[in-house]
Amino acid sequence: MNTDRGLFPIDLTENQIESEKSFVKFVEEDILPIADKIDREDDMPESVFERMTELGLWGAAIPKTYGGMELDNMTLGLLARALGRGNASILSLLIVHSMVGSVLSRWGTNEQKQEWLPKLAKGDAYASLALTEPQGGSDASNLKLVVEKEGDSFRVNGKKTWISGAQHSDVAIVVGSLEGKPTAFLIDLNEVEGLSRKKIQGMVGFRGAMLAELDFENCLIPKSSLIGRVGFGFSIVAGYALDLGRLWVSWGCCGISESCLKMSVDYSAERMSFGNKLLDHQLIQKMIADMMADVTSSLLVCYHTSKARDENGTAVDESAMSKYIASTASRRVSDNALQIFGAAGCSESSHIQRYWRDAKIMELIEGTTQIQQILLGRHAKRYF
Amino acid sequence: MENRNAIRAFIQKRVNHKELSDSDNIFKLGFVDSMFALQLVSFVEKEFSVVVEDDDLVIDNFNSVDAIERFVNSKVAGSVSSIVAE
Repeated sequence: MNTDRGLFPIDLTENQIESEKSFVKFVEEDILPIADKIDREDDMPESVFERMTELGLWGAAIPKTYGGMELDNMTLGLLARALGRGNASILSLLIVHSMVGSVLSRWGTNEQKQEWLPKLAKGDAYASLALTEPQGGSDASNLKLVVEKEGDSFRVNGKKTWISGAQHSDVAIVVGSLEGKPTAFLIDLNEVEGLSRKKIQGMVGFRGAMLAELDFENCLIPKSSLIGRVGFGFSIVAGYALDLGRLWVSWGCCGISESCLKMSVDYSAERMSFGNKLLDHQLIQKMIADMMADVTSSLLVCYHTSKARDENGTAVDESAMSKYIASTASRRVSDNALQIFGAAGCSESSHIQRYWRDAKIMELIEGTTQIQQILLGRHAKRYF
Repeated sequence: MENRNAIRAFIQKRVNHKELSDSDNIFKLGFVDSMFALQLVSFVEKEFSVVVEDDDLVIDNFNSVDAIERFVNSKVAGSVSSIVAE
């Protein structure tokens, strides 16, 4: 693994290059040696959390005022890219944690910021983002988790599922329906009575993302749990989180794709078939060229989305486009890699089969490919 | 008037240049999707150098060109009065 930037190098500052080197070092030394073990055991070892705490990574997207690193969107992307090369489950845990940190920094009350951001930045507490329900995913108008006012509190009833990190997270942003309107709440998962967590394992990919279902049964939460205002839970709070999340996922997909490409080039340059190296066969060359095109387009769109987000604060359409391009690309690239490697890539001792399974999940999280297509199609006339 | 024109231009582009008066409620007309509010907030902050606080997240502040202009003017006036107070 290296920090090459492909056929069309992207411009980075000295600081960004140095940061990327440290991310890659962390992934090479601490993640890759155990990446397949995490996948096989469907669990994340405590040592990974501890190492990330030592490196300050839990505070990557949190302002320095609260003890975070306050990395720019380009550097956050480079971090996600390195983690994508390492293990997508770790990336997923950091993404949801950072989305919550980022939303709280922007839309949280002073009380919420003071209580949670320093803990989240240090890795003294972990966060989850709870949007998806058993009955639906991105359909904000049909939320079944209901929140009702009760004196100075709110009463919460309903379920959230497929929630990354929820097996152990201390706090979560939960979007529910209050007065029939999507509204966001910050809930202390260790304090709330009536909450039960159900561990989810055996997924096709992201084995180690500590998924769980959260079942809120008659839970009473304080009035101060509200984030933003009633009715803005999806459009502003979750929207702000997803804008960042989609960018991170896209960069993570670049990491998966680049690893698959590099491994495929190395393998096909060595492996012999019909008296020639695999790479000398034109059908293999075609696959490698397709992979290079996918990697290149993914990297460039992610680079420009990070730039747009650094300049404008949000990048809704750009993030959707990067997510669409990079996640569909990583599925194709990993599929080509598996084809080139053959049985060797399907073995549990190969990273390739894990990349292939994780790449499929990348197409589903933070809005499916179809959600990105709908968003982009609706907005096409703005640009063309 | 300049503020109004900038707001109108931003919204017109995002409703695919549909016929729209300055008092039309863009949310009720169904011209915008869930991610629009976030883009609108970013636009208001960047274009008019104001900060939209969580207390400002009230639909009445953002549902028409007229409403957004009123909101922007009140925020700009608020910023000026806090500078004067300092």
